[in-house]
Amino acid sequence: MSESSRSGARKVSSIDLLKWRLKVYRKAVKNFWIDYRRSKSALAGLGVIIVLILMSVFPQLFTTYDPYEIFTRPLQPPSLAHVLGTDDMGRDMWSQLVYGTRTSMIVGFVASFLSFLIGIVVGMVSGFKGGIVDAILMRITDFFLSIPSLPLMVVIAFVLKPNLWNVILAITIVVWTSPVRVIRSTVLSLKERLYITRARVLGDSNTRILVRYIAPNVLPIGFATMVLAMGWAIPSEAFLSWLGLGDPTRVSWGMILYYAFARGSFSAGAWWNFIPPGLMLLTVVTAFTMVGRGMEEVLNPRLKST
Amino acid sequence: MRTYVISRLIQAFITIVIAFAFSFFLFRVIPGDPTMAITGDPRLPAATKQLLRMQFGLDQPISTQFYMYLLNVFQGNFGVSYQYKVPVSQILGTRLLNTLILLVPATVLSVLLGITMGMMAGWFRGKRIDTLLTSAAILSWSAPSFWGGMVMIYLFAVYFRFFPTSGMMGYNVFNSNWWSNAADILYHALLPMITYSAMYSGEYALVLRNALSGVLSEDYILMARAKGCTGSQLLRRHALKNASLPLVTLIGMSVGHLALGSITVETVFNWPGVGRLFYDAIFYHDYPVLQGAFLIFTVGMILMILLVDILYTYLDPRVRLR
Repeated sequence: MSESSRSGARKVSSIDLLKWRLKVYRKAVKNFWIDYRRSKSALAGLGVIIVLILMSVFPQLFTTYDPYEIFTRPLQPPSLAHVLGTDDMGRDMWSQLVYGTRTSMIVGFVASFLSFLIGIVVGMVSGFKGGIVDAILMRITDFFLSIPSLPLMVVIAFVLKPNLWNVILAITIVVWTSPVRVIRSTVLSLKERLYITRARVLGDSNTRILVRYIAPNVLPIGFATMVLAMGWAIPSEAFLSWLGLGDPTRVSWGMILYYAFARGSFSAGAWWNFIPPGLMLLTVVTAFTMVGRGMEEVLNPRLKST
Repeated sequence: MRTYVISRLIQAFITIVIAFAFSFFLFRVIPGDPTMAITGDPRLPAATKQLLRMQFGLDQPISTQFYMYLLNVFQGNFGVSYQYKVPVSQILGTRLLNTLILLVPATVLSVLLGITMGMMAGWFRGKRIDTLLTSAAILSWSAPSFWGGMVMIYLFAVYFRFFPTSGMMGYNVFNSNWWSNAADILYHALLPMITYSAMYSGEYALVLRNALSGVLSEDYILMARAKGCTGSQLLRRHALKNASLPLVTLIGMSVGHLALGSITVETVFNWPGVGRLFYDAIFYHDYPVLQGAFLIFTVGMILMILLVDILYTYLDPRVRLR
């Protein structure tokens, strides 16, 4: 067989390979969904998250009021006009809740996506390289795990200017350790698999092994940790805002709680001012945890026992 | 064994030094002029500024400043509070005592409650009581603790008036004897303690439930059942011993909750501890106090983890033999 025909055959097969790969991925997603569908709580969580995403993208669909506009006298209890009453400045509570969803979702998504990226890079390098690199990276994560993370987050947010990006940065610095650990341990177990040894014997470079064989197997579990990290990042944003360190130009659930706590509608017993945002937070955290757990259970069969 | 303890001690010491260094550089990032932070006066003359900078050693090179900082911090000198105008260490001393009065019983209570809930849920796995307890645990785990505190105050102090809304002592008990003071403090501490346990026991319950149901599905449990063990015998002799290792993990987890719990619960209940101090320091931009409280939290957590790790080696022979 001549050299040219050989490379020609390869070109054809590379397109086929791509098609074949897409087919494999589609099938994997389909299989994932079939397994995922079995868990009722994971489905319920997914439903809640879809509603919340809709709320944050199209808040106008859920409320007709502007969250910043002052409508009536302050601290009106719930009525037909204002379903959840008004706050201490006479602004509609329900529309503040709806618009607050956007802040929570943005902060939660960006912070956990950044942690996911850090987790993928640091976890894969650390798990695959081993040796001194692994030791140094793991010492750094150990350090972050052995100091109190939430006070650290507060101090970082306090030192920086209060805006959305700094809040995200402060949260990311605290959240990134758990994806790193999960991904590193997954890589460590993958590294011992036979097909990795085979690829190595066939002369594949480290980068190629990482990209071709390790990454596709690590990404799904990485996504699961990212969803779980959202369940951490969203209440963390609320905590920072409640301390008065959130972005003052944006409505958020934590900000509503901050105003309720610091400006006296809490002391005045106006329950419609502080119960609803907390219930929203509770729902969001439960939903993301259920989806994350559901994903983990499908992807990591060892968890199914309980 | 001894070498393990010594190496862990050295490790903890190094972590503390790094944390101190970290905190130094973190507070160095603060935008703006430090003399502004001290006086709060934008019209300050340049000469006064220069004098202040010299007094606080801000004209020294950063390496000298860092060395001085480490020297001071290890002697317990965290500077002078902007808000109270007294040394930070002086404030921290009493505040730390108040925090311990509240959090030590609260932690014990939360762990006990978590164990009880987890054991019942694990034992009656799949039954209605398990569903009930597990849902309660998930609720407790997902609710933000500062919000939980606000709800508890609204329910039990404002609506039902069972407990005082805030503070550590009432005003009517001064000049009375030690016992009535203690009783008053306990009366004020009760609702914060209950809140703390309600917020954190859920996570412990979930961990213990999973551990216990894992153990209960083992073959030797089936064997014991076949031998004719009754329910309580089975639980005491075969299941609990094997599910007790997560208990130590659980104690470690409870250490991790202390700092956050102190900040949220003390703030909501206006309990004069380190957590409330931390909150007030943010509110008044009191940098030295904020740094001092942060370092106290950090050192406390590192030492507690050290303690748990050493405890672990006594309880788990596998660690000891390594």
